Amino acid sequence: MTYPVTVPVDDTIDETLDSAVATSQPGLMRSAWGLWRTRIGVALVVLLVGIAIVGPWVAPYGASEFVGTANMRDVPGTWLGTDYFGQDVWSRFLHGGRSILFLATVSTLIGFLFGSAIGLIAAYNRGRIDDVLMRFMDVILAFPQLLLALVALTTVGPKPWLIISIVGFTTIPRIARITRGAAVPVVERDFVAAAEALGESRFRIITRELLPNVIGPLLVEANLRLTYAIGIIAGLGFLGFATERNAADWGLMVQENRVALSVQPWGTVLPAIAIALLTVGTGLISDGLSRTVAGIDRGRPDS
Amino acid sequence: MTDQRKLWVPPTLGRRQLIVGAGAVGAAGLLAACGGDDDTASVNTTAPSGTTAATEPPGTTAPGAPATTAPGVTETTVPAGGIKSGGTLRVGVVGSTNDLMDAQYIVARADQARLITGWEPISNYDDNFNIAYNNSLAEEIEAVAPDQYVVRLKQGVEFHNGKTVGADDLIYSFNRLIDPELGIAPNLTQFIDANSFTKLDDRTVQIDLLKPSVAFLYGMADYGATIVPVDYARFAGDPATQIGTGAFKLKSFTPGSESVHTRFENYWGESYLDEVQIIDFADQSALVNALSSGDIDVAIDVPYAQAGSIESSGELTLLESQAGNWQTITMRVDMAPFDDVRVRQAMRLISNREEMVQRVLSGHGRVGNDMYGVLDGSYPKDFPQREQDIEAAKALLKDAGQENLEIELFAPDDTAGLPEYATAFAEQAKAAGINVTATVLDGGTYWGDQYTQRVFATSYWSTRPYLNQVGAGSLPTATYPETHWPPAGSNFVELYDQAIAEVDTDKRNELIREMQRQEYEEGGNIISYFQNLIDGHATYVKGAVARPNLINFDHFGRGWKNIWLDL
Repeated sequence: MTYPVTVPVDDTIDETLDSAVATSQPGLMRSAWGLWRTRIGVALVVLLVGIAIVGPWVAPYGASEFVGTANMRDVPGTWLGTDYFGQDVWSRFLHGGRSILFLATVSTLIGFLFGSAIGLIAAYNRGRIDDVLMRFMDVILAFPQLLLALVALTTVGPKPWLIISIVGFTTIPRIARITRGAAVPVVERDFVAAAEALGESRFRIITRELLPNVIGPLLVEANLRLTYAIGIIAGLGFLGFATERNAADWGLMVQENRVALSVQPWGTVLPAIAIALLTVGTGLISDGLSRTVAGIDRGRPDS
Repeated sequence: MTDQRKLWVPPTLGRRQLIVGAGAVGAAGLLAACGGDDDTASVNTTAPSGTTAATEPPGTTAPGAPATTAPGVTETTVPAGGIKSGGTLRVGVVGSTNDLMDAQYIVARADQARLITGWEPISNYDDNFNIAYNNSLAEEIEAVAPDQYVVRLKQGVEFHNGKTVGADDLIYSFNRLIDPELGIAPNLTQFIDANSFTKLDDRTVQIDLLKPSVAFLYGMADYGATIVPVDYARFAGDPATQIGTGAFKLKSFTPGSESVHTRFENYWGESYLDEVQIIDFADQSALVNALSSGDIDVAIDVPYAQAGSIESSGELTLLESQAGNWQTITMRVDMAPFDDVRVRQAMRLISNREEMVQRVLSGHGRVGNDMYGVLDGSYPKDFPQREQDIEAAKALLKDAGQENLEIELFAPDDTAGLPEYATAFAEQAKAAGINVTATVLDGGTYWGDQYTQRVFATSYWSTRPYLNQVGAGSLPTATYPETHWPPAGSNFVELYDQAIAEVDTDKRNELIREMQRQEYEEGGNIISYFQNLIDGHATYVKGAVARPNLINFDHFGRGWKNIWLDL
């Protein structure tokens, strides 16, 4: 039997905490959706994810198909001309979103799963386990994310699994800290004590009592991490760490075509805009979520 | 030297500097010339040994000469109007604090520009790769025998310090080239030593080679085979020591920053400018930006990707010269699968050459025919142009039992064009049903121990006379035997030995034709294209002509004497 987590009984909790604890996930989403920033963010993300998913099917040319002289703006049969290697910029753009989205999503997911687990375990157990786990997280945090990725990729080579592991690995402590921070006050709450008194297993308490009560800030953080992951993976592509040569990849496209920026700007500008809109989109969503979680903008007429 | 590799889009300068460590050699040609059995140096050269096909039309020193009809002329900046004198020319070139100044030795392109500004070679090439004297100091070179040459210098040519150029200076210049301490052209030592020179009179020297080589004659036409005054030494801080015969003498030089050269009043030919500034830029983008903003008048070596921005500007002009620089995919003829000639032939039929030019060079080049030495008069232009023929390639591969070939094609990451060449080839090979994987390695690794050992790789060369190139890359004794040519049982080496000792041009060209035929039909190079040289300059800069050339901005205006400003 589960104690009803959505019903806070303690009147002394302050408003902010109350909202964090009291808001169930659907409610959170609904409130966030009421904010324009969230809607715009979702629209942007849907647009770009849509391009990434559908793009390869609607692209007029193959990603590495030769269509004409390199670095030309006006090439018959193309919308935006050719890139550094005589390929269709528009088609490359349509092909180039999948890898970055896939890598960013999977690595954030890994960071989210492990990070939240570690944060919750640390918060619930306190004491030595907490110390050991969180100090270990601090050690990981001490390494700059991009630097660590560069070292690993230079040593092993740009493999997709490695990019996912590194970005995921470095995301873990960031999510773990947020989770722990949000979960510690929840652990003190009566319903947790009640669950313990009822003899519920630790696993059950963590997943059923704690997790739902920290999901708000966790979602905000995960979204923010997704934004950073997109930035880092695009950055790695720009630095030449693409998973294969001449792969269609937004980050790599910026790098490949930047020399010709003054002659054929589309090869650089189009993927750069895509990356920017994608990160702005995820950023807006996390902003909307965080405002809802923190209780800012609540009660506005449109919400 | 290392940074140098990254500098150009068209890597005209030698990569092997890296490998050899010695750096590129100014006296390139010389070395190359001797290339026969050896020479590292030649290859290192930055500027191709054959300094070039393109010189002024014989007898012309005036820049006002009409754009000549040399083949490959794509554009001219020579105006119809009269030539104006005076003014300062600001030339931008990629350089670094490693820049040096030596009359016979260079490492990077900035050094090349400064060498050509201050010094002149013994002879030079005309537009057809024949020996000429209009941009050089010899009056005549007589080939008495394949191992004996007599050089007579022009009368009354003055050095910057007023001394007359004489036989002693010529002998000193040769000895300086082979000075082991300087290491400028160590491989030249197999052809000449200190006893090779006999002074016949004040301006005539007889050279007796240790062994016959007509390539030696061509080597003297290299831009690096300059004449320096007795006791000349490399720049070490004092501009006054840099004595040459060029139209501009050194006023100041700060490596990595700039050099200033002022008009030499007693120059033996004509010149128009008051002053030339050669300004260093860290990279090509900065160079092109400086040109666009008017900070410099000439940008030497513009990346292909940015050529369009210069073309589209009303105030700037693009000078595009056909060149003989080539990039190649090398197949080892002594190793499987390429020890089977059918597999080599199939690979050559896979390459879509026109597509390569458009993809890799953005159209700034022309298709190749699997032969090198394109600017050499002996180049067999009449051999049929090889075209992509996937069906024929498939049939050859099937005959050879290689229809499912899987192979790795290596390229270095430090040479623009090669990774793209390999990638494009891998793409085209799919059509023939074989799986070529383009693997790009770090430059240091690529040009290291395994260079010339890989079965399937890429490489690039500047151009030099055919025989000199054979000596550098296509003999068992070659310095860089990339394809391990010739195959067992071939008479290629005998042909080479005969050709190198043949003074008669027609007879020699016949021998060369047979050698070219062998390489054309069975060789291990896939030469899909030759790259153009591209420079940008303000429209008011006149005097440079686009024609087949090996050195940028029309051979640096032959020491800037041909250049004038229409201000």
